[in-house]
Amino acid sequence: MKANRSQFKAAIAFLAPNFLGFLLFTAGPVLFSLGASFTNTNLQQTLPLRFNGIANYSELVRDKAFWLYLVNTLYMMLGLPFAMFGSLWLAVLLNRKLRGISIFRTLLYLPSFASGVAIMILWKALYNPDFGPINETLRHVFSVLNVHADTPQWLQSTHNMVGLDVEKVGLTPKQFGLGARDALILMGVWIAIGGNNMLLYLAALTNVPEELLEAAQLDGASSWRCFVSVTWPQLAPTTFFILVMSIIGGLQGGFETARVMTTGGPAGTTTTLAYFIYSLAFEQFRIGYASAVAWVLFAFVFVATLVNWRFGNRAANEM
Amino acid sequence: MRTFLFIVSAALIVASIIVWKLQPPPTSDGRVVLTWVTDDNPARKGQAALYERLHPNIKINIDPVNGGVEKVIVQCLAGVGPDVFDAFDAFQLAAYVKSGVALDVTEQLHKAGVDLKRDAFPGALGTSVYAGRTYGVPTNLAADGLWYHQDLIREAGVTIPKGSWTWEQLIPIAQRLTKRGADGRITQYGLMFEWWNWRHFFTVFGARVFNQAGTKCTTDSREAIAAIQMMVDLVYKYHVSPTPVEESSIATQGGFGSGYISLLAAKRGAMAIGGRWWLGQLRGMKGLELGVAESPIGSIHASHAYGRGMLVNKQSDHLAEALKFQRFLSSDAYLNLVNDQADGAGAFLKSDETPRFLFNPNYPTERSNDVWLRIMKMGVGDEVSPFVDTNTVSRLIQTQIDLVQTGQKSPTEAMRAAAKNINEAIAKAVSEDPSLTEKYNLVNLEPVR
Amino acid sequence: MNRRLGLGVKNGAVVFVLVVFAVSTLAPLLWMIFTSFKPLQDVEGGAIVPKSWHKENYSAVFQQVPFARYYMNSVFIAAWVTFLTCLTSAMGAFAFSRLEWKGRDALFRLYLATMMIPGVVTMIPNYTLMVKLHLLDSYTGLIVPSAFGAFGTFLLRQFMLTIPKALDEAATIDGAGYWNVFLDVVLPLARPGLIALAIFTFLGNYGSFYWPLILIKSESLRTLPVGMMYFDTTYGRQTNLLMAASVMSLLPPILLFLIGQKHLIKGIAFGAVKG
Repeated sequence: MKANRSQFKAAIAFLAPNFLGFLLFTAGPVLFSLGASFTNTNLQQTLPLRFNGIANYSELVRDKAFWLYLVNTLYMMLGLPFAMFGSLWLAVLLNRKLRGISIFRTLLYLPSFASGVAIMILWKALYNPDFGPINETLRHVFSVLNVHADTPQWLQSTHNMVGLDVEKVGLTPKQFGLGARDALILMGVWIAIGGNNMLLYLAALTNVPEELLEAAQLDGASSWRCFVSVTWPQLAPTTFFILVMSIIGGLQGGFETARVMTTGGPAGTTTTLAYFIYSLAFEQFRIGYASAVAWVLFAFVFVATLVNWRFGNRAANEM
Repeated sequence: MRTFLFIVSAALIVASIIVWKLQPPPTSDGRVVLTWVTDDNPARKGQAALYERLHPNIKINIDPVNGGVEKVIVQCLAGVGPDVFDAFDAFQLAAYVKSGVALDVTEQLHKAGVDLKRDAFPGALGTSVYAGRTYGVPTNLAADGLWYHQDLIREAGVTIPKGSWTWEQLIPIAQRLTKRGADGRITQYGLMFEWWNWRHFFTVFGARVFNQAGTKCTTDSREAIAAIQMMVDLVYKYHVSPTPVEESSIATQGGFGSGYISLLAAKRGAMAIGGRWWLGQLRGMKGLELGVAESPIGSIHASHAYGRGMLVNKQSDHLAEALKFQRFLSSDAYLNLVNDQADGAGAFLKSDETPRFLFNPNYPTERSNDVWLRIMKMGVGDEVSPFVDTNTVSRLIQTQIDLVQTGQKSPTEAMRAAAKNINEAIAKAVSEDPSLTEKYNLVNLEPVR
Repeated sequence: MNRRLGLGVKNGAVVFVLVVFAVSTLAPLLWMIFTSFKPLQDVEGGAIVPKSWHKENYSAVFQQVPFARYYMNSVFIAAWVTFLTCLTSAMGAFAFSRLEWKGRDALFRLYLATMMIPGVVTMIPNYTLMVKLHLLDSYTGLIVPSAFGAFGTFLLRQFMLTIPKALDEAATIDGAGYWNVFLDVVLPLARPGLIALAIFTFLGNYGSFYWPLILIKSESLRTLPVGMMYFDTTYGRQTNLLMAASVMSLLPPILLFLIGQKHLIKGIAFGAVKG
């Protein structure tokens, strides 16, 4: 009991600097936005400020744009599993003691160094449908394979891999193909695969006790078997962390790419919820409504994380 | 770990001291600093320098945020905004006025003897006058005409009519001027125009976004559909203008302005729709023989006018100095400078209806200023409806134009959808705001449900 | 003998896969470097490798904007943020992972939850706060709000959970206080996590765009991403100079990573777990 009290005091001391900053720069603003979501706060003060209950939230349910952008957001998260497992795979490969391996590590991490804005401008040029290197290569491949197909229009196209409709939530064969959203997914995977997640996995892999691996190898387990039964469970906390962060990032994502590369177009197909919130708040000045959308987005993220948390704890317990 | 922590903190503190020492000293020369939010046109430096020369007690600090309305509004509301800032279009003016950061300068200008309605081009008022009150002074005026390469026209054996002409006259000329390479790709476009410039087509076809009172969106009008149809036809029917894909292939590179300006200079296009301000970049390029004509018209004699208006921050610490700087925009010194720089043209009639504007001996090859004057005189500015947020309108129209441009909708379908969506937005805005409802019912006989 | 051969084949396959990945990673970046040496009119279309190497693009960057100043600002701000974030997050993570106290998990979940709030919404209240605190257009305003991420606390907590508790319990029995346990046992063991967090934080803040954009008014305070936008505005794009600026802006993070990754490899394996 006494130990607990001293631990409590110590906890307060250790937490204090972080907690103060947290209150001031995170919790405070978050509460402010929660409050704002129940008002008609607007930077263009045409109306007196007033509390309007759940009006913003009920508007949102009826707002066609919200649902379209939600679908965009979810669609653009399709790259997450590829990025995650790609990172893991790369980390496993890079964890070998080969000569020159550190050069590969550096090379593969390079995209994460580059300033975001510059990388986006770079990809905009790569995706150029006519002269861009990507389509040049595709055309070359097509002609070698003797395939008669049009190269994708990438950032100029509303097409997508599942045929999402442009103006309403639904599917239509007309939209089937590769378009702006897919281009952004591909770029996202390219940036993420050798990035921070790989680094995290690499750090976690060094934590896997070699005795365990050696013991398994002595038992005659194949390297795949070793990975599944020894390494993977050891990586569980890291995987959990990466999964949570990826989902959070994915749901909140698409803001900078939209701002720098597509301005949310063509025809709003690359507008994600984050960019929607941004344009509501900073272009239309509807802080109240923007806050409501943000809180709904938050609710989605929260539920996703809770589910993960359950799953993550179970995985952690199993190991 | 302890030593490491100590070393790092010590290093950071030393770095802080160094960075602090390297700070450029604040203007301690006693001048009043006015911050001006505008664009990064190099011409702006010359304009600031002129004012500093005429008023040695003032230093103009240019903050080029390139139309970042949100930043300016948030800063102004927080009490730390710039002293003066430019509205780049009627929409931005509306945003600045509605958010309450722009100072109403109607009385001040009146006292100073400046009457925009009398002295300035009508097309320039959109960025300065909102709902009958004056907030800004126009910094310049631009209206789009038709640039063309005289040598290419001669080679093709065609002539471009002086004065007003129609699209039907333009199309065969543009077709003659379109050239293809051996691979079938177009190497020289007959006419280049930018898709975001649908307002130009709207204007010359006499199409309006709203009805007179601003109560109803009229993008589904015959004129509006014809305007968009012309854009589509130039690209897909007559093949004289770049498709979106081709457009992105020859996309924008270069200094201020750039984009289609450098493409015109590179003769990727024989003709292009653009303004006098293109000279800012074209002047520096040698060996060009450029001419200017009026843009073809659809049904009315008009041009799309645009420009900036300089507004004053209500909460500026140097209100008197800011107002004086704003009034400087109507002085001869400033207007002549703008004309010389070809930063569009001065927005006041007194500076442009002069021999000095029509022929400047420093630029003897520029013989088209009389055409620009004609074009500016028929300039029509952007419309704003008091009943709907203008950013929403722009976004709704742009979405539909995107669909037209990518060939997924016909102009008719798209413009009807735009009108429907915008009318819904109007109805919603009106029903939510009692004062708007009242205003709406005053000007509209059919009351809103 | 046989086994060694098998190993050789396997390593060969690994190297092959890595080379493929590395090439796909490098190709766009090579394009960036090539472009940075081209004259403007050769940027689009045309050959990928410059016909002539225009080194003067690099000096042009320094002539057109005070690039050195942007450099210094970015590095300086990111360094401070990184230091403060690592310190406060490590302390917080220690409290969340090593100490038992009432309400710990509830508070931690609250931390976790706030990471899910989209940044665009907290931006306006935060901005107003900066104004109230008179931190607008100042280094402090750029550093302090970024120095208390819930992210770092989360990351380090996960790392600290993997450190055997027996180690600090042993230290406690030896009579060490919490501060000593933190500094002498947990922090050294959490080094890979700290280095990873340092790299993330540094990169994130070094490249952050929007907060400096709205917070700064003076040119002397501009950071690299904000300053670089001069080469890519609505009114003109000088891609070759933008790419030259990008290449130069990459140098500090590459340096950081080259230093950091050595420690990362050593990681826990060479730390106290084995030693």
